[in-house]
Amino acid sequence: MTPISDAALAVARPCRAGHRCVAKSLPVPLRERGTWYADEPGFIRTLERDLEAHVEHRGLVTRHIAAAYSSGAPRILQYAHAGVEVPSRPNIPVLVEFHEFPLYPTYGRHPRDYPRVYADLGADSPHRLGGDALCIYHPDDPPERTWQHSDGLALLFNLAANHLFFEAYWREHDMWLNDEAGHNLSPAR
Amino acid sequence: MYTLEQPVPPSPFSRAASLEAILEAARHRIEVTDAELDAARKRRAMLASALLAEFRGSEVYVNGSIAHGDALDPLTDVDLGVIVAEAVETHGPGKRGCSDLQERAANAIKAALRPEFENLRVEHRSRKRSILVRFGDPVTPGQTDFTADVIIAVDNTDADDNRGLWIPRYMGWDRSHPQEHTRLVLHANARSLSTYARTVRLLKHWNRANGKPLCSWNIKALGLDVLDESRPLLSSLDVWFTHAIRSLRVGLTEDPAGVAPKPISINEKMTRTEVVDRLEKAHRLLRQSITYEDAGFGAMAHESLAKMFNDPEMLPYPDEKVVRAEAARKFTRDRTAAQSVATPAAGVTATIGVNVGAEGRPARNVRSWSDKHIR
Repeated sequence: MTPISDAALAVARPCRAGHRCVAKSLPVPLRERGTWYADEPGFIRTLERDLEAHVEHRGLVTRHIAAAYSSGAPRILQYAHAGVEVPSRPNIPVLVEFHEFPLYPTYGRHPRDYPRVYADLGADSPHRLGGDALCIYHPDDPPERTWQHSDGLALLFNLAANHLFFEAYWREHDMWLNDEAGHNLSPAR
Repeated sequence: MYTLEQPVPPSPFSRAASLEAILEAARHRIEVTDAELDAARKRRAMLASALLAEFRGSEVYVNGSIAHGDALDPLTDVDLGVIVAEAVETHGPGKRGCSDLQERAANAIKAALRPEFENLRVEHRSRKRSILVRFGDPVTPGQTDFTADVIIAVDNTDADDNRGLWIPRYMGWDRSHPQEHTRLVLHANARSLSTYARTVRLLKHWNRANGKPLCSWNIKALGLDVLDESRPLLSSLDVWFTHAIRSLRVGLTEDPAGVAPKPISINEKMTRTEVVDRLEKAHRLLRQSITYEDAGFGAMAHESLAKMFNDPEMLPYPDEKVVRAEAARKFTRDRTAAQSVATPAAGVTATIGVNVGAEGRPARNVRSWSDKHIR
């Protein structure tokens, strides 16, 4: 895979001045070399294994390791899709981020199974997380109703495409086509 | 009255009338007008006269999109060649190069055409193959110019294999058979009742709007293998893509005339794998459009075809609200039809996931939510 260009990151990634301020105020764990889950053997291969097999994703996804701050800071594994297909809309770029030490709530899920998914920034939607990430699945649902890293990225990109369509339909009809979960979760879990 | 649960039933005639009609309209948008063709042919004839006056006893041949009947709008160039009779013994492999002949041809063209085209320029030095004639006067309004590629050729008199001609390659010569190429193309057009030319025209436009993975001649050469009968355009495109992908997976396309020693080159900035990938992506969208229309989702079919061609001026997108309504109807229908799997531990009923849009891709039935109320 080729590195993500800065221009691609700028389009897909949120850029809130508040986000940086909040992050700097929190204690940042020292990174220990070789302990990150993304360094585990087979992790990246598992994520990417089915991308080439699906023509709608082939050659459109680039991988990049970014740091949220200067060197020595927690790492972020990023996957940028040049454009997922969403009926009734032009193809929409999607950015998936796997954080080494997430500053966002993971609700008890391992960060490798609860990445941040960004697309169509600023669009009106009833199902977005803080930071404008797409809220594709409920973290408490069973495996057959969520996404795990073992499922691979092709599924996650398809789920993102579906979510973006549901958002577009909701903006027009004020109706969410897919199942919705209630608001009964605490970030302290 | 069709509701979210009841899709539009497919009509046995809707496929041929709908996507086919859209393709026909798109094809007409990229056709060259008769006036443009006449102007281009007139200029070609002027060039031919100038060359025949300079190289007496020689023969002129025509090739390229105008000769083959698949020219695209805007019309920007014309192709022809002259087989120089006097050079058969003196020029060719192991003999003299083409530069003196090209110099004579360039001077003859300038002398004959400058009275009518005062901004005419002719380039022949340091070029790979042809003399480039810049008329300084476009045939299609709004274009910057109209040009001609003129090949100075020598007859091939090889005792072992005298097929084709010798055409320039910088200071040397390559074997080629442009007259046979034109014959093959015209024969394909006649056999297919012009389906070949119409399909090639659409493919050339797709090629132009999608990074030009292939040259025009490669598109035609692949078409010669399979576009041999009259068919609806949708079916012709499907047949061509299927063949092109299968063929290029194995290797580059050989010269249909069986003369050129090397196969036809692909885009030099791409690998063969990348070219095949582009074709597969386009073919998937084409097949998707056919599947959608067969299932009664005409707007989604139209959108897939528009995405494939990637040129809204040539093939406009459908109304997005209509597409959205159809996609919602399809998603609801598919989800209803999916099997239910009970999960007692979670206490929820999960169904097999479906995607919005195309089937056959990884899917999962998830529940959307939000944590904005918590933070």
